Amino acid sequence: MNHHADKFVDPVKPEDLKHVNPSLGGVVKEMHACPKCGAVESRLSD
Amino acid sequence: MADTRPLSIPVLLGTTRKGRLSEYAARFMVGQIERRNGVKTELIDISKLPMPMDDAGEGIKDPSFSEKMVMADALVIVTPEYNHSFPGLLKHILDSCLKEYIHKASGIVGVSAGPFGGVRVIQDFLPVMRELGLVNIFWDMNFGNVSSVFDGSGNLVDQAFVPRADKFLNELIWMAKTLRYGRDNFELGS
Repeated sequence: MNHHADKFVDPVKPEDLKHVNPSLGGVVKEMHACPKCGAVESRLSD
Repeated sequence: MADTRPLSIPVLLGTTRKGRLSEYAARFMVGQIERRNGVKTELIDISKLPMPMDDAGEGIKDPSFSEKMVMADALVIVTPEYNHSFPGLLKHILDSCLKEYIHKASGIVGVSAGPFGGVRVIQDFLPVMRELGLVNIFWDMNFGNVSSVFDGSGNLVDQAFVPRADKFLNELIWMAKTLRYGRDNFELGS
């Protein structure tokens, strides 16, 4: 998977809170794409 | 290694209104895309999608729609102009996905009964597309006075829309290819 984007989002679930980046004031969601099949996935950045 | 996957460019028909003439515009765009080599398309009619009203955002994500957005390299959004803006149900559906759209191309097809061809809805739509992570091209399609563009069976009457669609699709396909290459090959921060 290729990490090609970061998306800044506001935390909406309680479990999102542990991923809050204090300097950014929110959560960063990493976007990944598969070069072979085009599949995408996202995960919250630590 | 050369990428052999065909580009996927679905056309999203963004209104559920009975008697919508946007459907003619959407079907015309599907036909124009089907003429391109190496590109596959399909019409996605939002009136056929499950649309729960007791939740919103990714809480109403439909697996089938999500999968189509995952596989899409670009999106053609056909939207009428209702009270100077886009249909609320179109926004409801678009908001159900996010990761599926990031760094993918989009083009907007505005449709209006009046002469302006949806220019106001397109202006309204651009900030939404940006926030969804879509990269919108600078060619639009403007079907103003739409009842005179197609006949009562949906056949194109005004042939000027063929070369306009050609320009629109040239730009959209270029952007789709470029962004796919970027998603596949360029790591963020590299």
